[in-house]
Amino acid sequence: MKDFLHRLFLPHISNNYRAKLLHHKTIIAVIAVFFFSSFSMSAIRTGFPSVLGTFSDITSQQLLLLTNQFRQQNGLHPLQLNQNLSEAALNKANNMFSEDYWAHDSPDGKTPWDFIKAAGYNYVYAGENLARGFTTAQSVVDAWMASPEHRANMLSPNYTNVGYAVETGKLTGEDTVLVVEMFGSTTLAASPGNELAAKAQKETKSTATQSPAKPQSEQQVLNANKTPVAVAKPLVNSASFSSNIAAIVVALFIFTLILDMVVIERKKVVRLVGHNMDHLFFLTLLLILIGLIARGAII
Amino acid sequence: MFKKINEHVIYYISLIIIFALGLFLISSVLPNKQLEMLYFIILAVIYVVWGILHHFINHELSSKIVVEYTLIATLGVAIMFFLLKGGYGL
Repeated sequence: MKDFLHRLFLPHISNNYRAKLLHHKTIIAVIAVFFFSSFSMSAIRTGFPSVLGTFSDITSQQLLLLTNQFRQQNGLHPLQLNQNLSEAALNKANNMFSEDYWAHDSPDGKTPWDFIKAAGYNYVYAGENLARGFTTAQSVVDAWMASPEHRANMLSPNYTNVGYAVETGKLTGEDTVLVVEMFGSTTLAASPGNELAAKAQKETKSTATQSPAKPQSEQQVLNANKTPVAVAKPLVNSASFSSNIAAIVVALFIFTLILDMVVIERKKVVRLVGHNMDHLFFLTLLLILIGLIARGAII
Repeated sequence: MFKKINEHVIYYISLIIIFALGLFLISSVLPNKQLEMLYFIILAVIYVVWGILHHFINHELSSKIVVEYTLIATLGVAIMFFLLKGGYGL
């Protein structure tokens, strides 16, 4: 075992002074394994979604709790979970999946405020935060808090209510978990600076000629109560699994290239090979990209 | 080792600039998985061409080196494909 690892990672006379992992045949084998695994994982995702798939542990309650913790730390009143806003958030999430867009406004011009109004919430102030690709509520809230625009929404004194939807589906060619957070208030805030603040925070303030609230159907209430718990949770999260494997393999190649470079330099061996430094730059770029892709996105 | 790095410092700077531009371009299309894959393939091809040119200018070019750069670039593409296809259902 020790000899095997030695030959695999260290340049030595037994491997022609090039770590076995960096031999052409080994690289071809690794490439083949990755391509085969890509199609195998894709087939398992389709055929056995209970084994491999996309899921998150995010719940509305966790999002509410974390948001209110930040609000209380900043001396603000806690938000109340509102059924109408949750329904609006769910309808928005479903619309994003069906129309396949990642934006606040739909391709046919529907704004977040249209969903809020359609859900029967007569807002005076309203706002929306979106997130995708996160696996925990903490990471979603942290990402929103790190962005000035989203933070402004989360810490706005104008809002009293909030609604959430956490839905899994295919969006812009990717299986992902989408989080929609909709804020609202049905009363005008007392502070005189609120109107300006509302504009700065991209909130929409409704006019006096607002349409009256529509009566909620039973189906709408049922939709508002729908949570991602209803979907069977796969055993393995494919996104986390693939990004971890990819990062480990790239890190292993980087480690081997560095070892190879140091040992060959010490032993003063002359070889006709490419520059390890070039490959190091390329693989480091790949490692950064894996980190970026694995990170969720917010708008 | 540092002497060797110094000899090729201009090449490395050019490679870092290419990769920084690539990183910026890919970050700008996040989270569009198709475009991420496409841009990464283009970047991998540029890397192979850059590697060949680098060795050609330094009179070190051989078929073995061309194969090595092609394999490392293909390895990168395979890993990216695994991540996007296997992990995110590209």
